[in-house]
Amino acid sequence: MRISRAKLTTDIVLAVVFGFVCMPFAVLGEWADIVALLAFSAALAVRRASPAWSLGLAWGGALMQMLWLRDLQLYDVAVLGVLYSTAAHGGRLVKWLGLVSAGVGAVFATGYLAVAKPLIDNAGFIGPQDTVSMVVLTLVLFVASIAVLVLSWTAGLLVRSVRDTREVRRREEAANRERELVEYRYVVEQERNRIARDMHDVVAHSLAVVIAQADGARFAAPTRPEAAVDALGTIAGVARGALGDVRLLLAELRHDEAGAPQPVLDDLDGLLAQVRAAGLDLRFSETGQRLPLGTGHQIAVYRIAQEGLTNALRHGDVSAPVHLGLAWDADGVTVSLVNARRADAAAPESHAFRHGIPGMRERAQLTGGTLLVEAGADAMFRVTARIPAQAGRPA
Amino acid sequence: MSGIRVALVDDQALFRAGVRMLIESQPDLEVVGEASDGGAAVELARRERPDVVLMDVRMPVQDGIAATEQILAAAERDGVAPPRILVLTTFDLDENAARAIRAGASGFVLKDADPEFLLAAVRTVHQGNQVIAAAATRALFAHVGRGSGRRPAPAAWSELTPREREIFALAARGLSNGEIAASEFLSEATVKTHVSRILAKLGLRDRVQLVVFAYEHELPGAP
Repeated sequence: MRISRAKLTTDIVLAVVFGFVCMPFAVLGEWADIVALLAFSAALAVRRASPAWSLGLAWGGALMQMLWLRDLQLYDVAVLGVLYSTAAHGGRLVKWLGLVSAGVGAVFATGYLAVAKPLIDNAGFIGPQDTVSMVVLTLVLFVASIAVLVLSWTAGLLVRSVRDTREVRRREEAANRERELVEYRYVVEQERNRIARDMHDVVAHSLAVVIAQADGARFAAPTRPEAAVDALGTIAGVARGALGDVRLLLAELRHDEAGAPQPVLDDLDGLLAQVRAAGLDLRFSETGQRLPLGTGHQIAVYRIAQEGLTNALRHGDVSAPVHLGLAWDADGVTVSLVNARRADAAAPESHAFRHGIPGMRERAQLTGGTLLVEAGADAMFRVTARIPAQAGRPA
Repeated sequence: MSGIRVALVDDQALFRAGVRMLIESQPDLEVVGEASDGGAAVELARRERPDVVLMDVRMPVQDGIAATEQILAAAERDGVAPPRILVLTTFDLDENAARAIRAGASGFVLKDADPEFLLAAVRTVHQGNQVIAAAATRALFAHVGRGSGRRPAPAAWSELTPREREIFALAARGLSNGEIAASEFLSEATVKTHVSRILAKLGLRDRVQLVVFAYEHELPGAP
């Protein structure tokens, strides 16, 4: 397992400190104690860098200690750290080897401390009453050692699972952020395409007309001077209309540039004022009690109103009043927009007329709502959007 | 009057009006009708039998590509000479313009082209002995067809005589019959015969198709 330099340094420093603390006891013992201490310290130093080596070194130290018949010493505490590390940092194999080591180690330690060592030390001086106490002592020792060893291994396992959970959550969050970013980029891309389309519809079409009219008039003038005068009027009208559209487009762009937060219901007033300033006779009505709407739902209401009004301004009869209504009820809000079609406006099927409607519908559907568009025979154009109140998160 | 009969197809009435003034200022040209979408254009072509149709590609209801196909198919069905179709486009690298040419249009003109160029283009496609804006057409197909690579020459290519291949190469560069005749020391009538034989052998409708054919195929033995 790859670990950071800082972690390795920490482990080494702690191992050295451990070594110094245990050194006085080891020095009081034999040289074998010092070798075992060095092995245990080394095991602690690499416990995260290589749990496998750590486990091996600890086993080496313990076996050496037993072969040289040494007493239990302070440095044996290192075994707990090593077992903990096998569970917390080891690979699959090392982790389970750690648990096996805890069991086998407990058996070895008990056998060594309770049976082998006293036998060798007292060289066969065992009465029957001693046997009973020895069995009891052995059992107690075994239970204690296996409890301590397995407990430290389990602690490592616990830490590991906590860490894994946190890692999973962190990955999930990263994935969420990534997805949000992609969605954001998609929205930006859509917006850019929309602006490009608007530019084409407004600027390219108008300029094509201006060019055709100007060229036509220039060629027609020698024989029909009055045609030239008419053409000049047409050119001025088309250019004026295009400039108005460009102004609207730039206003939208500038709005985006400011990086302003997404508009909510309270921004609606600003939008209405803006549209009225552009020369639209807008009648706004609101009925019912406002419900708390989620931010996404508020944006949907705002954007649908904005897109609808822009369409009315661009393709509708600007001299007739435009009605925008918000009707609230217990379940949500109904946004309705009614405007008169211009007599010379493009046919209802044309793309200029249909412009923006897919976007409005998409916004309504994202909130779980619906959008209905009607181009009535009475030359009125109606957009009705239903935005439900539930499923909205508080802002 | 035996002028060239022109039909205008564009969804913007004011644009049509401008082009109409331009065309009607010419003694040899005559506007025989206007249409604002593809469907109306097919009907107009059937009714008025124009010589040249100026066709916008992007239109509501039915676009210029479909209209081009239908007008040519209808003329073939009725057994009359098909009109030449000139595509009007806003962008010089418009994929729709390329598709209209594949559908049988004789060339494309930008909406902001000089009026003199537009008028010349109408006369040129009507005569049918020269391709308008051959270089621009090649650039258009280079742009549209990028990445697709060239296809191997069809079997019909090998039926061309070496002489015909030479003339094919010149015509593919957009040269007129007169220019080809001058550079090859031939009479114009001979060149015309050669070109029509080339078009017949390769199964091409007209000279702009020849330019596209030259661009899209690997042509071994082409000078």
